[in-house]
Amino acid sequence: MNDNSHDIEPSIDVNTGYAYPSLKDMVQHAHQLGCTFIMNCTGYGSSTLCQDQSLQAGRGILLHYDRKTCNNRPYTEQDDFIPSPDVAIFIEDLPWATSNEACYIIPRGDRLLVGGSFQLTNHTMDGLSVRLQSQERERLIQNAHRLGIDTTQTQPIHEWVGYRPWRPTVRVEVENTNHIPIIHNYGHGGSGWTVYIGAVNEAVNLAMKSIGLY
Amino acid sequence: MELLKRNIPVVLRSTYPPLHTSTCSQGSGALWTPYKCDDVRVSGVWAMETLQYLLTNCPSSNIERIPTLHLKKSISLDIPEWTKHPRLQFGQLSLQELYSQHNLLRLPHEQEVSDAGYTHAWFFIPPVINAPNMLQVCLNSQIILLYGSEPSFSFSYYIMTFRQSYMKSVVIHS
Repeated sequence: MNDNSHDIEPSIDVNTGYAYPSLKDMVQHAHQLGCTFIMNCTGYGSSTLCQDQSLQAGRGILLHYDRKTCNNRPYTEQDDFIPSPDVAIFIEDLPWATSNEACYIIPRGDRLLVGGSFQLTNHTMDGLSVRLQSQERERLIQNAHRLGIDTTQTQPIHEWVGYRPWRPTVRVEVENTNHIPIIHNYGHGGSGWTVYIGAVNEAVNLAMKSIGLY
Repeated sequence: MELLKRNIPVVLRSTYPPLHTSTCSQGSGALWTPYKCDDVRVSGVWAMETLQYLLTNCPSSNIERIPTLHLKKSISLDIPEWTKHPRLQFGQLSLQELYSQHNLLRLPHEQEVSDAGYTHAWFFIPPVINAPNMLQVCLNSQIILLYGSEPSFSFSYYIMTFRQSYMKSVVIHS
């Protein structure tokens, strides 16, 4: 415990509106609060925060369809709509896809998500890359058609561009600073929900070791 | 949340709330499958721990097990380790086997798939996480662990009000 630890209370504020410009600022704030260590889970934000040149943004694009009202393509010219259990389909091979322009559909909650892409970039804030381009939209609609959606009868309800925090290796490690150790936990690429429990367990174990509790 | 479970007091700070529209989870598929991450830990122990957790601890309102196909142009000889988890029910099928065994699923047109040259499929049943719901549940759980009650404010208010976030930080103390 630091000397000023009596001044702070455990708390949650997930709407500060403030982004730390550097690790130094984050460490200073945590030190003022009397924190013993910092867990850094800032995802792609760590490219700025940590000046991590190996962290890149893996741009992904998607169309969302309403899962309840989305029409299936008929199987033959004579068939009507055939209700059947939804399935996720994923393709990375030619001719429908490539490794960086996958063709996929994923049922998630009340939506069907059709993708996709994986374009590594460091320029996430330029006007073009944060919006879906017309050629990209056409490709996604073609993917939707190939994967069973009747795109003549059904329109997407939402389009999406996002950035996966990609790194050659995930950064789950301790960085010792003058004041407070930082436990980094970022760079999970397109596998965030696939590994989040395993990665956080390792990060917490590192945190416990860093303060001699494990 | 894992820290709170271990009785470590937590100060959590984030620029914007987890249900903010700029978080990846609002738009992404959240299909449990190692993807676009070259770290060996991802397709190994981390993925297995997370799969086990999802299948045993998460309510069906937040995850759904979805039959999943990876269409291939040949049979795969190099199958990744994560496929061996028994609850995934992983198998490799020819196109004929796929369409004869799973004809009740909403599959793409067999002739079009065949004409495109896809001859085989990985078939397995992973969880798909309803990511927006799950984020809210995670935050609510942290609040309950920290304050001992349900949150009394509306997260949807924040979604409508704020934009743009690349920053989420957790600052903790002991």
